[in-house]
Amino acid sequence: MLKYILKRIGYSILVLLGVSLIIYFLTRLMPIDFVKNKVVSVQTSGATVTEDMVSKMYESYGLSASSSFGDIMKGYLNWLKDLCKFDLGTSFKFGIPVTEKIAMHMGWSFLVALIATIFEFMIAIPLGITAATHQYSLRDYIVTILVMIGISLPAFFFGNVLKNWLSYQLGWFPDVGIKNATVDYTGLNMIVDYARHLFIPVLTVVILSIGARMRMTRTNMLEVMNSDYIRTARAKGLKESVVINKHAFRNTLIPLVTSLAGLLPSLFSGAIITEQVFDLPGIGNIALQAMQAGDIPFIMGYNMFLAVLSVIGVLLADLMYAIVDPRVKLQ
Amino acid sequence: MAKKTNGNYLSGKEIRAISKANAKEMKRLEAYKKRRASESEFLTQMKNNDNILEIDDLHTFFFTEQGVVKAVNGVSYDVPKNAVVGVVGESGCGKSVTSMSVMRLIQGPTGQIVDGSIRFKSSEYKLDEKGSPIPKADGGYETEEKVYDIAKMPIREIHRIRGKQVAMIFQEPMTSLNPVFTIGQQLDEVTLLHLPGATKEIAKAKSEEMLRLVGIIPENVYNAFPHELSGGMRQRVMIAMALAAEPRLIIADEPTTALDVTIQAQILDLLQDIKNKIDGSILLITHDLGVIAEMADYVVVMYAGKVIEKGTVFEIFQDPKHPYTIGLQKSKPTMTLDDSTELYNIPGNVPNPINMPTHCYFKERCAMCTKKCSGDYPGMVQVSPTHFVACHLYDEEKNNG
Repeated sequence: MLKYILKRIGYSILVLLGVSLIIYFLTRLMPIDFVKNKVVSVQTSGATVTEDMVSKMYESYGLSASSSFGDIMKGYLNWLKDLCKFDLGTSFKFGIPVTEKIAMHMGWSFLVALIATIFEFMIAIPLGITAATHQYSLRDYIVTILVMIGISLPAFFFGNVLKNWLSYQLGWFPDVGIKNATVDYTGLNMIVDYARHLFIPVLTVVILSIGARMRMTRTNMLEVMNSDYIRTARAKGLKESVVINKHAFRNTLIPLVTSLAGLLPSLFSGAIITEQVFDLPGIGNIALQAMQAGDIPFIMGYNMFLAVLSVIGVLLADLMYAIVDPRVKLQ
Repeated sequence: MAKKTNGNYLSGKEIRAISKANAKEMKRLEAYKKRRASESEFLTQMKNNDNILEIDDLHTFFFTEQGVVKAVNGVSYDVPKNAVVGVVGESGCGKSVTSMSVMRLIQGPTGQIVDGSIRFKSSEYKLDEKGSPIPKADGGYETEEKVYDIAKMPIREIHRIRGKQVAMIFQEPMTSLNPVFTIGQQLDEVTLLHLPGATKEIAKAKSEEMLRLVGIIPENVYNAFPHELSGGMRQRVMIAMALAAEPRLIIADEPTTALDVTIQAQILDLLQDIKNKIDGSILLITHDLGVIAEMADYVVVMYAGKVIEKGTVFEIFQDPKHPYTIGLQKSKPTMTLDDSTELYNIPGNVPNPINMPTHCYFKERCAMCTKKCSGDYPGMVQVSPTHFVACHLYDEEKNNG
């Protein structure tokens, strides 16, 4: 087992190198140049900028004016050299180290994603199971139609609909932000304040994501319910509830647990659109700003962080597989 | 139903008419299956007290989009106490569906028992006022016999029968065990479920005893997962599982079909052995006449959802009456057959199960067909005290005698 994990980690490093190379080249090939934009903004404010100053600026940001292959490669190697010293560099746009900026905003995104994922699983799995065990019944159709509506709604639209309804019309929840700007709460009141602010964003994310999980559970459950060992379990005289909750559910769990580990990066990546709609200080929001500004160190740092999480997620999924399915042996 | 222009093609209109009619019928039968009912509603009496199971005019249909498939269409046969009854017939003749009906394992809502009764004499623990079993002085518990009509039982009451009274051995040992639980866990479950006051230790001891009975060393297998065993071993485990609750009737649904020949012989020997050890009956379903000849006391021959001949094993093998049974006997390969003679086969095919003719279903394939065969479906004719056949050839004998 340990040998297997070490081997997988070794492969992962190669994968990450490849991923970083691709991301760096793609970012450099984007038609956004942070230095050029800065020069333009300085010029519009009336100051004169000489050629010499521009080239100095490029140099100080570790870039070059041309995007020839050699220049990009040089920039990439510089970035990689810093990475080996565990330095992700300083964000162009925000002017602070990338790691610091990520740490500052990651928490909120993670909190929203974690709560949403917990609710998603708690709601989607039972719904999927009832839909499967009552296949083609009214209950199945209602559940399926509702979750399909959820899947089909775009986040920017549904988020605003909920905001309009629950916040502006009913006034039950605050519309935007993460906490009350006028009052500084402490203790329990602070938690309640955060919860009130996070309610609509979490609700939006949950409703949009239940569909896929429920469909997956339903499909797996149907497949399991039609298998021979379920017939054996029934033939033993077990109650239908035991057949479903013990014999069938344990088998449905195999793909579900695997998908759970695959969720790891999405817990940290942030919900870009939802965070925009509700003006949350999450990482998705920040990443979008960085992207629009051509902030290469931040884009690299953020994406590499997600890439590492993805690799860990896949490894975890494989390990989980071996735990829930006795037929799988890792070697 | 709309008139069909082509037997293989259904128009959209026809399909809609079929599914509408089906939906109504399935809804009614599902509701009947899921109803709550007092015990008196499904208590009944055996016609012959020597029998343990009496299947009487059973109809099990599948409501498909192409039409109603009458998989079991008026089947009647009995399983006497301490006897092995073999059911033979080709694939799709309804022999498995009949046995699944006894266990009420027909997959709803498409599959439904439509009519008929399945009388089963069950031996239950006598319960005192508090609903707990009454212990006997010499160990065990007091029992009482009750006759249930399984076909009329609400599905929520079926746990009285399944596993405890009737156990089933399936034809797919490779997939019939749950892959995520150990053999021990799956075996223990049966004892824990059916033996009053069973603890984990008692269940484990019982499971190990059952494994030994089927010729497995429990130490090696008790903690193993199904995928670690071979097909023959898994079938032994299935048999051990079926025996664990000491059922009165074991339904073996093609127990050897998925196994290779050497293992087949072992499993049959094992079943033979067990039959002598337990005080119960076996309903053996197979399409292998050799297996029937070796194991069975009585034989039921089925064709296209109906019983066409039944009798003792000697009557069916030495004096087959129905042209189909005669054909079956002839199409059995023998060691003396030389290479130049081709193996006999019955010409033609089974009629379409959705659109069954009104005359004898075997008429088109029958070599001994008479004018009478174009008439109604033949009734059961008794040719000896135990031998029945459904064929017009024997109608006259009955009339004369």
